[in-house]
Amino acid sequence: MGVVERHHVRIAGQGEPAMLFAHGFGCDQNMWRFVAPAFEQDYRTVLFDHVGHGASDRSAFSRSRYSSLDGYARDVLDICHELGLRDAVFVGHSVSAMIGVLAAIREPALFSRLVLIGPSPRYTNDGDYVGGFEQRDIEELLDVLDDNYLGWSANMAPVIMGNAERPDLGRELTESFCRTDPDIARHFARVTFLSDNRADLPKVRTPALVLQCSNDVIAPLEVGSYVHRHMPGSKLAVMKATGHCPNLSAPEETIALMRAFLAGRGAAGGDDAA
Amino acid sequence: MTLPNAIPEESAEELYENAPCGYLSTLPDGTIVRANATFLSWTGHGRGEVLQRTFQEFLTVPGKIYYETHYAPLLAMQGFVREIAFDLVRKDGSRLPVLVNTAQRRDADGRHLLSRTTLFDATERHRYERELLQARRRAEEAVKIKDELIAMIGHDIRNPLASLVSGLRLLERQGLSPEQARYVELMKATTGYVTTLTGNILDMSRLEAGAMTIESAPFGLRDTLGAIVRGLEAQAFERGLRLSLRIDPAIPERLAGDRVKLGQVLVNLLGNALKFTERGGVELEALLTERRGALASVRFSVTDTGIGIASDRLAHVFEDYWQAGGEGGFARGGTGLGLAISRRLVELLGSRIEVASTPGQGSVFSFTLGLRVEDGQP
Repeated sequence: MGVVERHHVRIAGQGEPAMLFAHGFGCDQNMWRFVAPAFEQDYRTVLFDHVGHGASDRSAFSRSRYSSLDGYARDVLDICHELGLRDAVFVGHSVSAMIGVLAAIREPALFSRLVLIGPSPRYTNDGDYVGGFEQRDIEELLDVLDDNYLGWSANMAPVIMGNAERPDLGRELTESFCRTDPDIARHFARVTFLSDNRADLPKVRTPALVLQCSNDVIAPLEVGSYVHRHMPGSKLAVMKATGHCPNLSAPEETIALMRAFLAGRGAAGGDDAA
Repeated sequence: MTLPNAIPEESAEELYENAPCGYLSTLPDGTIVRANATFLSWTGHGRGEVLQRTFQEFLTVPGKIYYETHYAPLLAMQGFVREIAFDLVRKDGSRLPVLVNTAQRRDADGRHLLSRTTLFDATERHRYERELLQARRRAEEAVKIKDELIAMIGHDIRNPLASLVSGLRLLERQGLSPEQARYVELMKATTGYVTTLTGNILDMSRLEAGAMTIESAPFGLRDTLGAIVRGLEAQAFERGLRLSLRIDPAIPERLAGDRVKLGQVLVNLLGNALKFTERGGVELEALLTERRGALASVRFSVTDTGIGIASDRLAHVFEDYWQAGGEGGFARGGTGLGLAISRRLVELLGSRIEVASTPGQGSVFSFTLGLRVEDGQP
């Protein structure tokens, strides 16, 4: 199976360069539905699912390849090579922001700009560093995943529906947005929330925009400014949007800030890194 | 259906406040703007402590992560979420497992104004699901341990056993005294027994894993059956039993099938019959039951004059680790896997083993295989 099928790659729009959108933990490429179309006029938009998410090929999952974010970064590079992308704009949400950082360090020529939405180089606290979480919280998160039908749906939905004669009812549950394979989701949660990529930030040479939400528990303001301070030439924009998914809750604001950054007008309300 | 004349009065407000589930109205960012009395009593908070705070604030830390990474995106994309499991944190710090359903309320332009959320007390369901999950984890763990054990048998026991067997063969040729030779015989019997046993365990695991495949190649049935019976003659002689072979002359000379698995089943059945027969004998018979074109149906049966099996136990003989004599366990040797393996092998060959038995008189194990005729006869 090729890279395109493996990641359920979807291409739309016209123009160069390409704009590659990478979804975060808990979702699939559907989460770009309010943002990506706005760029189809000027860019070739490329959407994909991480392995184990959405309509990707689950059989491509391997614990060793995906034992760290590096494996996911290699997938991003695979997609770029397969589609012959160069100077692409990489847009990564949540954990995929760091995945994009790793990909851009490995092969800088492939990327012209990075848009990092709610990035965090480390989610757990460490000495003076405030990531926002304790290791214990992450272990408990795995229980919450187990508790939820989203995590269980692939196996449990037909059982929960208790209606084998009407499999369409079961499908309604499993074929919603953000389908994830429960086991892979557990694995991805662990790899994501126990990652530490602080040392990678200074290695980035690609101009980057950090989009920081107000009141984001997953990636608090301290974390966003940490990323900005440690990534040379990056810009930070603190958004009015709250929560962790401005691409869904505040698409207009997200699009406007991205446009300003891509037009070289800096980050509205933001400032340049020293 | 007729309604009773006097329906107890109940205002919509009363129903909202005291419904047996929690109700919340929240702004798109999660800020609670309305909460019913049930929610307040569940959480132990006063109304003033709840309004203007976000719903997320009443969740555990991992619950907050789940809210931001799953609940909120899903709600934004599809306009509703169903049955999301959260733990509410009560005022006293204790937790209440709830199932949450939320639907967005939008204005005429499709703008998200409010979210309406119902919460159901899921304490019992949660406990039950956790138990199920733990049971599944334990089962998966057990399978893993079993697989490791099987792999260990495959390598760490079979390999040294093989050197032990060849060592004994060499020792045998060293001009031993009669007493030494007797000890070597004993060791050979024991290593042979352990080899069979580990082989059975490996076969069983291969069968369970569906890793056993059927081969089909031409073979002579008379030669094959003759060799099997000759291989067991010593055992029959030692036990003072008669061992005989009857082959229907109508059976074609060359057939095609899985000779190895057929042999394995027959050796198992004959070995068992010899083990559980005290006097009399054991007979292997092959009978042509049907000939249609190039396909011959051959019925194989192993008949003994042994202890037999009571009718109420007959159904269990093919279960794993079952042995005649029940609690006698391993007294007669073997793992109790022989019949279970034979049954599965025969099923793999496309047939079923049948058993008929009279306690005190003996048993007949039989099965019929369709084998392709290879000798060119029509």
